[in-house]
Amino acid sequence: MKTSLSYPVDNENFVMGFRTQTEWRWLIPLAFFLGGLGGGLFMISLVTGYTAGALVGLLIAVVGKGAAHFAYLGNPLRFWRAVMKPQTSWISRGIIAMIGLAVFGTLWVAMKAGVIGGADSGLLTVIAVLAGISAAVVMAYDGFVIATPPSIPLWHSALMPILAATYSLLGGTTLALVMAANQVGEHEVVPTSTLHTMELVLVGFNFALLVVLLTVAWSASATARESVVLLLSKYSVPFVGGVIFVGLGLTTVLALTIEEGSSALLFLAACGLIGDLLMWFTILNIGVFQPINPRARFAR
Amino acid sequence: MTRWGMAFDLKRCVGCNACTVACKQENGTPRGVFFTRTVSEEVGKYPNVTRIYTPLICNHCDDAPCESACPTGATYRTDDGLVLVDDDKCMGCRACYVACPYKHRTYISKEKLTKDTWFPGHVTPFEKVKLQEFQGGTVVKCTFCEHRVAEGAEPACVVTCPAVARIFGDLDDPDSEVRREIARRDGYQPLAELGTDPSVFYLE
Repeated sequence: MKTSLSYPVDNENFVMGFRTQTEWRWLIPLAFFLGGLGGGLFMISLVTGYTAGALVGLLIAVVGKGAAHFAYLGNPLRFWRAVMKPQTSWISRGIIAMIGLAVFGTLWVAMKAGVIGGADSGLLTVIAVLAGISAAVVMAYDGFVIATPPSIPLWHSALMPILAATYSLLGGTTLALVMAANQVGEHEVVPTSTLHTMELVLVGFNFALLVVLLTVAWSASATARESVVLLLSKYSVPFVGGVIFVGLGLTTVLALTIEEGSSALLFLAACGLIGDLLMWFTILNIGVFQPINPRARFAR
Repeated sequence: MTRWGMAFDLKRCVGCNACTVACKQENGTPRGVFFTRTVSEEVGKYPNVTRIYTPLICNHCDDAPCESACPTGATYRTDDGLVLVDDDKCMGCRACYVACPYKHRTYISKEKLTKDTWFPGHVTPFEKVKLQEFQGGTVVKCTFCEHRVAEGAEPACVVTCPAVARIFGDLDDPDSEVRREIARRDGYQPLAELGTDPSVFYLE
């Protein structure tokens, strides 16, 4: 049976066909980006002992991501209910992790900076572990949120949480490098050469991950392929230009050519972060639902 | 135990969308919001072309992804198999919207209830009464006309269908018409491979 199901029919309520998700378009990609960036920066800073970076990471993850989510909610005053179902909902788990990050992260920064005592005790290690676990969940949970339900075939992939985590680490590494180069927290020693290498490795890994994700989607199902078609047509400029060329390509060139500590690192950071944001924007906007009519599964 | 379900007879559906209108009348859904609708599809190649119709509705899944995704507990499943939304608990995050494989949830903004009415800027007497039943900033969906079913009646779309293409009943009762028709005609669930176990079946 032949049909003509090869384009989204979002504006046609009474026609069978592919439909894209039309709700998570701007603020949710922004929230995912800020959560990943903040969580990643905090994690990198926690591992390297970079207090200023951890503080900035906390602010981005908790205040930035929190504000983006808050602005998106239809009934923001009911936000406190979001922690009610951690047994099944990844959003609940993520919010609990963000609360954990806010509490343990702040404690860790305060103890490390000497605002409160106990920096030399075992308590600091315990708090660091708890803050690290919270940050790890914040980095990856957005990937689980979209990967868990089977509704959108492109998203329903085990690669999504990995993509979320590695993009978080890339963003965090980029920002840590720039902050260290601009003497934010000038008395602290940051292993910039290690971060420089890590940046290059993560750029390569993320590129490979995107290629694998899209290649698998292309052959997985007609609906997932429709997402890839959208990505390479309607969203080709933000994806190919923004995510691939600026976000990964230009970042690689700059990371290879710019000297450590150069102020041009700011440009590198801008490129990396633009790519990071556009990655979430494009991936969320190409979410296509499978047509409900089982006959349509054989359309392509 | 009762498990309410519905079967769509695709051979009988003529695509008149009387069900769509009856649903809107019964539930008073805002403009552009459909709890049920019938989509059409042109198949074949000239001169052998035909148009087929597929009624769509919330599937009230036994393992509903929307319920699992809901972080507030606003989406819940009743003992008789209905998946419902508690407006007072919904915070409007729309996680259920992206989690539903059947795309059968709709977000209603506050503007939708006040400004984006049938006649923009003007609220008709019907809307004035019916829109009060909705809360802005929440997600809504088909309830299988829970209020009617509780009184022993069938959903409005089932009663209205002139072709008797919709059969409603208890899926757990082997003697119910809906269960017998599903068994007799090898009824199948939409996107059954996703493992959501819908309470809606299609009969070819």
